Amino acid sequence: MSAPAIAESPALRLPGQHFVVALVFLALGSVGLIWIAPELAAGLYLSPHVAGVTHCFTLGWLTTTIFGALYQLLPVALGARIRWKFLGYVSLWCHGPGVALFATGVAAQSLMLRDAGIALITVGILCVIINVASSLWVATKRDEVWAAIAIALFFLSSTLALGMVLARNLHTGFLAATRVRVLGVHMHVAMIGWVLLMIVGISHRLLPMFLLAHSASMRLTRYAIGLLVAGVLTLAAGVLCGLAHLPAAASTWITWAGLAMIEGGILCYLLQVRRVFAARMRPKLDAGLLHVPVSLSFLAASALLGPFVLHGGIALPRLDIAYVMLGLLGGLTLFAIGQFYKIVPFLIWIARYRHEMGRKRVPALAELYSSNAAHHGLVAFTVAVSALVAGEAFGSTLVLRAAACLFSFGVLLFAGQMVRVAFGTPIHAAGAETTETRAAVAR
Amino acid sequence: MTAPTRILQSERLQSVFERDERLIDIIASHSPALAKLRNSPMRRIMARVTTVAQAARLCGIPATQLVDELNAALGFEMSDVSIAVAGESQSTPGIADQATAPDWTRQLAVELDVRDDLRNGREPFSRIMAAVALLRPSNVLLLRTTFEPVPLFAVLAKRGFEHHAEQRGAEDWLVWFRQSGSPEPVTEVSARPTPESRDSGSEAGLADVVLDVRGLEPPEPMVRTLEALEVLPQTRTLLHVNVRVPQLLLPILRERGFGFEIDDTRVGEVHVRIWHAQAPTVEA
Repeated sequence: MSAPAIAESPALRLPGQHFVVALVFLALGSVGLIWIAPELAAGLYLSPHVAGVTHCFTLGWLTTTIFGALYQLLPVALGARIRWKFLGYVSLWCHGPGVALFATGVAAQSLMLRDAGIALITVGILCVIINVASSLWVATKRDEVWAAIAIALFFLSSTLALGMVLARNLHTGFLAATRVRVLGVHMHVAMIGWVLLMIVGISHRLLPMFLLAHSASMRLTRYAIGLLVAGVLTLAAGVLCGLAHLPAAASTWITWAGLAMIEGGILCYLLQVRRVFAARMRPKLDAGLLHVPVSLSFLAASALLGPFVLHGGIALPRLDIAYVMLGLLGGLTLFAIGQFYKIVPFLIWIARYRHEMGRKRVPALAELYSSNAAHHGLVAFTVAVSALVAGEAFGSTLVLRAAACLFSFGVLLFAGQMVRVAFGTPIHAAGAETTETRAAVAR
Repeated sequence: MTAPTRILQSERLQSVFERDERLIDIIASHSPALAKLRNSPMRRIMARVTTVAQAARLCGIPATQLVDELNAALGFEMSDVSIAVAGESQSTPGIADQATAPDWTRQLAVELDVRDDLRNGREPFSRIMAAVALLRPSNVLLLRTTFEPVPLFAVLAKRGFEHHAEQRGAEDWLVWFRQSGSPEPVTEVSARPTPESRDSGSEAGLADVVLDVRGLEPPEPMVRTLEALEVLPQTRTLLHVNVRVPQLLLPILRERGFGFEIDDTRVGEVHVRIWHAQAPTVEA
C-alpha cells in the first residue's frame, strides 16, 4: 500500500483574492473595449490604447485567474502543498497593481507608469514561478497536468522576456520592421504557450471530474501538449531566423511549420474534450460546463483563421484583430468564466458549510447562484463576441461599440453572480418548493 | 481464456451488454420502456443499476423466460439454462397493488415528472437524485414516469426510502417515495479489523461499510461520506471508493476525529479506509 501525499488546499482567502482582482480587470477590460471600438474598427492593433486594454484581459484577467486557480489546483490535482503561502500574497499585491500601472502607462504612453508596472509585474511573476516550481518539484504525481503547468510556467517567463524586449523597442526602435513579428510571437507565446497550455492541463483533470467521464481515454492530451509546445517554439524559431537575417524562405517555412503544429495541437485538444463529453455519465450540462463547448467553438474558429492571418500578415489588420478577439475573448475568456462557475461556488460552499456537511442538510452548489442568469450571461457573451467579429469584418464602430456594451453587460451579470455566490442567500430547495404547490393537482 | 458463462437473473444489464450488445434488442422487444436502452446516455445509467430480474419485471414477463431468451441468444442449450437458473428465486411480473395505497401517499408531495425526459431518450436519474437530495425528512416525493422504475426502488431503499407505485394508464406511473429510516450501508462484509489485519489484509475484505462514490459529481462524494460517517458505529470502518484521492475531504476527516488510510495502487481507483480515531482497537 502506498502513502500518497496529503496536501491541504489553501483556504479560500488566497485563491479568492486572486479571483476578485481578476474580476476587476475583466470589468476594466470590457469597459475598455467600448472605449477602443473606433481604433478596432480602423484595424489599429498597434495603438497604445488597444495594447493597454488587451493587457487588462491577458495579464489582469486570465493570468491572475490562473494564478489563483493554481493555488487551489496544485494540492488537489498533484498532491503538492503550496510551498510559501505568503509569497502567494506578495505576488498578488505586486502583480495586481503592476498590471494596473502597466496598462495605464501603455494606454497613456507614460514611461514612468509603464516601467513601474513592468517592475511590479516581474516581481509578481517571479514569486509565482518560484512558489509553483517549488511545489512542482516535490509533487508526487507527475502526469500531463504536471507537465502542462511546468511548461506553461516556462512560457510565462518567455512572455515576460519578450514583453520587455518590445517595451525596450519603444525607446530604441531596434526591432525595426520585425517589431510586428516579435509582437506576434509574444502574443502566441502568451495565449497558447501560457494560457491555452494551462487550460489543456486543467481540462485533463477537471473536465472528466465534473462530467463524470472517467472511462474516457485521455491519451490525446499528450499529443495536444506536445504539438502546442513544439508549435510555439517553432513559431518563435521562425521569427528568430528572420531577425538573424537568414533567407526569408527558411523563416517563412519554419513559421508555417510552427502554425501547423499549433493547429494540430488545438485539434487534438478539441478531440480530447469531445471524447470526454461523449463519455460523460450526466447528459445535462450545468451553466459552467455549457461554457466549455461554446468557448471551444470560438477557439476552433480562431484556429481556422490562423493560416489566413499568417498568409495575409499586416496587410489585413482587421482580420488579425478578429483572430485575436475570437481566441482571447471567445475562447480563453469564456472558458475561464465557465471554470469560475465551477470552482468559485465550490470553494465558497466548502468554506461555508464544512462544519455542517453530513450533520445537517446543506444547500446544493447550484443553489448558490442563478442558473438562469448564468445561461443569459453565456448568451450575451456569445452574441457579443460574434458581433465584435462581425463589426471588425465590416469595420463598423457602431457595431463594435454595441457588441462591446453587450460584452460588458455579460461581465456585469457574471460579476453579480459571483457576488451572489460569495455573499448571497442560497436559493433553498427552489425546485422542490415550487413543485410542492402543484401537489394537490397531482392528487 | 475462460469459458463463457450463462447469464443469471441477478446479473446487471451492463455486464449482459458487455457480452453482446445485440442482447439489448431482445430485452427491448418486450417493453417499449426498455427500448430506451438503445440510447447510449440512458444505457450508461440504467444498465448499471438494473438486474436481469428487474428488467423482466419491467417487461412483464417471468425472469426465467428472459434469462432463457438471453442465454439462447448466446448459444446456450435450454437444458444448460435450466440448470443455471435452478436455485434462483423465481420472480414474477409485479403489478403494483393499487387497492392498498398507504395513507402517507395522500400527504402533500413534491412532484417530479420525468415522462418527457424518458420519451425523448434523456436520462432522468440525475434529476431524480437532485430532487431526492432536496427533500426534507417529512416530504413525500411523487415521481411520474412512463414505466415502473424498479431499479430506482433498490437505489432509494439504500438511502432509507420506501415506495408505493400505481399505474394510471399506458406509459403513466405514479410512484411515491418517503424516508422511512436511516440509509442502509451498501455492503457489510466483516467485523471490525485489528491494526494487524489492517496492515496485512485486503481492504474490501476488512471494511465494514463500502461507499462507492465514483459515479457522483463533486461535492456529492464528500457529503455522502460525511453523512455515512455520522452514523458509523465506533467499532466499524468505512471504505470510501473513489477515482482520485479526495484531497478536500481529508482535512475535514482529521478535524472530526477520524483516522484514514489511503490505497492508490489500483488503476483508476482509490480506496480510503476511514475509522473513528479514538476507538480503542485502532490507533490513528
